[in-house]
Amino acid sequence: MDLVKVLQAQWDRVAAIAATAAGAILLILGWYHVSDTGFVSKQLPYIASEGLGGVFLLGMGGMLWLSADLRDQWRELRALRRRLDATGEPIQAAPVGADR
Amino acid sequence: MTSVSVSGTRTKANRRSARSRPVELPDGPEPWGRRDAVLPGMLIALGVLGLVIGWFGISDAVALERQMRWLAVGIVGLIVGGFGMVVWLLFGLVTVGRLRRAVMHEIDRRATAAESLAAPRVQVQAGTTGFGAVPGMRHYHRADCLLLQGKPASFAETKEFAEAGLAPCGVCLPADATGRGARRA
Repeated sequence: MDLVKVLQAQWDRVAAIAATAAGAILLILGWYHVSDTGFVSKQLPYIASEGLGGVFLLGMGGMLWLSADLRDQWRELRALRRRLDATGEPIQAAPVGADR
Repeated sequence: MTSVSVSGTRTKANRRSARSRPVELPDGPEPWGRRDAVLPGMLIALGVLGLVIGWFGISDAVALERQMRWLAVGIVGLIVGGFGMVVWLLFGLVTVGRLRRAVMHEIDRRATAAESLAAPRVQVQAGTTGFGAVPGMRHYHRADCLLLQGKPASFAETKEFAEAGLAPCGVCLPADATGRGARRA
């Protein structure tokens, strides 16, 4: 399969992997830099930049991956809805409390 | 005195009519609309801003006390950004859930309609005398037995069922051919 097409179709998962990898690298770099110095005032900038930044990117990666899963579910349900719409009345929202 | 409903005010009647109105299902290519992206986008941008400001501030500060303040700015940025991500996912989950429920409800409705068309049901009235069985059953029942309700049953006397090799039902106990049976009190 063409790599460009895969990247275009799965851009959200590619971005999720990239963000997670970047976050992990930042955290490792932060740990390396912090362990290299003994002064707290020198350690704190690394914690603020690489530590917090790494955690933020890890969260971003998780969010992007879950978003991709939601998009997949949405597409499948939408296709199902189209098929149901084509064979009957257009679907309305389910009544409150139905199918919970 | 007539009551005037001001548009935009939320009265009980307005809320009731809004609840009974059919809800439009979103039909975009994604579960998120543009409006859904505003709040999470702003929160995530604020979070990034807090992280960057904290980073720059802590780099310039030398005193530990001032560094701690900038670190707090960064942590608040992280929390705000994380909250934005959660809100984004929640919006998506809610929209996907609404569509899933609507589709499942419709499938269920159509399946029920198809079942009722495929099997014409014989509704046995309460108080009907006689005994019945459904083809494929190994027991015969009283006409008002719950196990016969809604099933396409055929009715006959107990003797005929016994000759056909069917045993009396253990629930309604149609032991007596007169119809009174040995039902438990």
